[in-house]
Amino acid sequence: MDFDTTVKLHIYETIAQTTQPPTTRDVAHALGAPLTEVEAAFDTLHKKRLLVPEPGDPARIRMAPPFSGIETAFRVKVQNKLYYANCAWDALGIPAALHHDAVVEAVDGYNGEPITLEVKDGQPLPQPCVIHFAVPAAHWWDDIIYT
Amino acid sequence: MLNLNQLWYLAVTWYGNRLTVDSRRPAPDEMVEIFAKIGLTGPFWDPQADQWHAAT
Repeated sequence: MDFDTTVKLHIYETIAQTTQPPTTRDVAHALGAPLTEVEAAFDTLHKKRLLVPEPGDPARIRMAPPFSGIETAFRVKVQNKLYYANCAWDALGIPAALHHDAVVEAVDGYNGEPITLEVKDGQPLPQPCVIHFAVPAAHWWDDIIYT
Repeated sequence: MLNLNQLWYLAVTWYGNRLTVDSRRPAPDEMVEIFAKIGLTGPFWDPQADQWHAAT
């Protein structure tokens, strides 16, 4: 397994276990690797669109899709853990990635009312809702934080 | 506009193996197939103009 993959797995496993993404220093310490190599791996993973660094602070992770590194309006409860997702798609992506049931608390983008979705036994429970995509697929990564 | 079942399909397809060694973001041609499978076609769902491959 190459080093970039080792870093990728460490990032995602850390988030899965703790709900929080590690910094470059955290990863370097955990893997016993030089910080410069971890920084290079973060850059490669960003180019592969597997993480998004915090604007202005590339040592921190803003997104490791479907997980968010900051609190958002998409709260995903899995057992006794609370994760934050980047969008509605990612909110369902968290139970999909963790292979676990979840309760998603979000806000209706139309009327601002709270909305709850539940994934149970590997399927979302029926809910009369639609999900709106505002940005065409070709431009999602022009500004992925906005998207 | 997507319904919940379409969104769940995207979530599972995109992220179902994200915590594994081989996980990666789907390539543009794979994205087209994934979207088409749930009826998402047309320019809005065409990622081919996306430049992600230029950075890998």
